[in-house]
Amino acid sequence: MKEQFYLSMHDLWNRKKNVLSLLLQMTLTFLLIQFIFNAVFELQNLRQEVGRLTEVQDMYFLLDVSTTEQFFQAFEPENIEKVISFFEFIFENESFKALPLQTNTFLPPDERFDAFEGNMGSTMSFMYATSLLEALFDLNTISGRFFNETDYVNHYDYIPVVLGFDFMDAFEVGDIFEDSFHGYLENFKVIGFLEQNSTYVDLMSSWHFQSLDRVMLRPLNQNHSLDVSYFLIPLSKIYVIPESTDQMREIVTYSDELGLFSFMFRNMNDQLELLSEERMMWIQSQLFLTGLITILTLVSFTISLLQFIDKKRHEFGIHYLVGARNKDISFRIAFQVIPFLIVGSLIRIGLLNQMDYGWLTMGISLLLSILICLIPLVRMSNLNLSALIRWRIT
Amino acid sequence: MTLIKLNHIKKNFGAKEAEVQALKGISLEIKAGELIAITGTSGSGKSTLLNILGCLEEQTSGSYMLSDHEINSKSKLELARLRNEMFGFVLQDFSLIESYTVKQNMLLPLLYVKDKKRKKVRQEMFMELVDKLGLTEKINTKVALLSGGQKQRVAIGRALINSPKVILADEPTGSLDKKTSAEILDLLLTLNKEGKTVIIITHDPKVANHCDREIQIEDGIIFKDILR
Ligand SMILES: Nc1ncnc2c1ncn2[C@@H]1O[C@H](COP(=O)(O)OP(=O)(O)OP(=O)(O)O)[C@@H](O)[C@H]1O
Ligand SMILES: [Mg+2]
Repeated sequence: MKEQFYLSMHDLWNRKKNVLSLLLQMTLTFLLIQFIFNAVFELQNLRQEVGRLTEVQDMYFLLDVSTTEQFFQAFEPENIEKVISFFEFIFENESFKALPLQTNTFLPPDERFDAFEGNMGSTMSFMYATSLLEALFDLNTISGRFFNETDYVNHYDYIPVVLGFDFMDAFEVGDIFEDSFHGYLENFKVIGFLEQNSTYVDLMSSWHFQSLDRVMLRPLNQNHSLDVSYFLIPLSKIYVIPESTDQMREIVTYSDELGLFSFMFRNMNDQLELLSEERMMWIQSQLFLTGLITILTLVSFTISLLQFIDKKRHEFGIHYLVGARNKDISFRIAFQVIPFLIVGSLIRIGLLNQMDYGWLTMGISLLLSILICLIPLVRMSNLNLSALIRWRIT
Repeated sequence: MTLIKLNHIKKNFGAKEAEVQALKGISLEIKAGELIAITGTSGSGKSTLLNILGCLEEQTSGSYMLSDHEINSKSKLELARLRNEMFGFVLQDFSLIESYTVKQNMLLPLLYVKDKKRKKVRQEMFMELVDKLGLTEKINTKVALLSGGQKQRVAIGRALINSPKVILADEPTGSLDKKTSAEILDLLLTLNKEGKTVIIITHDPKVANHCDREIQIEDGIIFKDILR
């Protein structure tokens, strides 16, 4: 057995080029299979998460369908009162809860943030936090603290911020920095860091879980507003947990009265169904593609092994002559698949940097190997090895 | 002492209409230490007989006793072990792995020796054997680069490495010129003198004349069995 393994490694080495292309195919297949698993499981997790969020009360989001004209009007100084009144109507309403989920990329002029500048610009964003955000998505800090009640109402010279996990490389609790995203200078002070892999969901823009690892949270606090944009940003993406659908209609009516915004509302569960349908279609087409590539990989592996058997018939005959059984030689053939399994899996883990559902992919890989070996092994068992060494026939 | 006893061995190839009866009932006794030539026209069944003797193929009917083993009832594993331990094969086309060195070819049977002690003892015999075959200079040479006579000596070395009781040679000199043929024949005769049972298929009357016994096969049966 050990000898056969050694021989089979030797066999692979002797056709390196072929092996390399097979390895590429195998890796590609593994990656595609892993992608599908990820997609399926992410969708499942998303359904779970939305189920959890809407377990007690329905959740809606307000779809901003304001016209360009309305958009510019909202910035007019004479309209600031209206904007503020709508802001308060939404976020300080006693009868329903609202959550601003708008994120904006930013890049403060501070070298500690340089690491967060990607090729395409900034890779980080900021978001307005409320206690509802903390509660809904169960946000926890790994060091420092999250915002408390006063952070949402008091005015500070340094606005307290909670940073995503990735920022821990560059900052510590207590660090300060400044930025002028809103067009005027603001000072910030780090009060805590979120746990790694903190996420939220925003079905309005994506079916992915949104990572908070590179997000800065600042408390939604009117007392830090110096400009109308401060109110407009959180208003541009609002999730609402009303007591009844009527309240959603009230919001729409009120915004229509003000004339600065136009909204439509949609139930989060309806949106989930819509997204799921789309997603399932994507997964299906992906499944089809992966199936095709898997079959192709299977075929090229099988052909490669069959060619190998054909080329080595004489050699196998000699082994038979000196004491091998068909079975021994079959092992030599089957063993050839092992390195592909190992290297393919390693590359998959290395590239995706994840082991999630690894056992499932492992199972699939094993199944693949069995399928790959099937035809060659049948062929092997049908070979009449004693005939192979006959002078007359070879 | 009887080493091999064949009783009414038949061997058919192919199925139904295309069936070929290669052996039509061979009964034969071979004693340990005999030197036997098997002769006969082409297609008469010589190689088929040798393959059955060497446990490479199984007979269609009849019984085969080897020492006190009943070959008919052996598993594939046991047959493979017999090929490995009891027999050494020398074939007309040498049946060597061309891309392997002399040493790798000669040690090939040891790959299938399970017993570690036995394996070690055999490996230690290697240099002595190489010396005897006159291949000392060539151990690390690829077989593809050797002459026909040298190749056949490598094949004999491989046949001997696991100390078999019986050497089965199928036209061992068939691809060689006169001089090398004589050398190879000499080698086989020496082995017989050292105690091995040697069975040689040959078309060459001179080779047959050197043997103690000549079994002539015609059309799948024993036509003559001559002791000299
Ligand atoms: N594997 C096989 N399948 C079908 N027929 C076979 C097979 N092996 C041998 N035969 C047939 O059996 C008969 C005996 O063949 P065998 O090889 O034993 O003859 P031989 O005496 O060794 O001949 P030669 O002197 O030419 O080597 C021949 O008719 C041959 O065609
Ligand atoms: Mg023959």
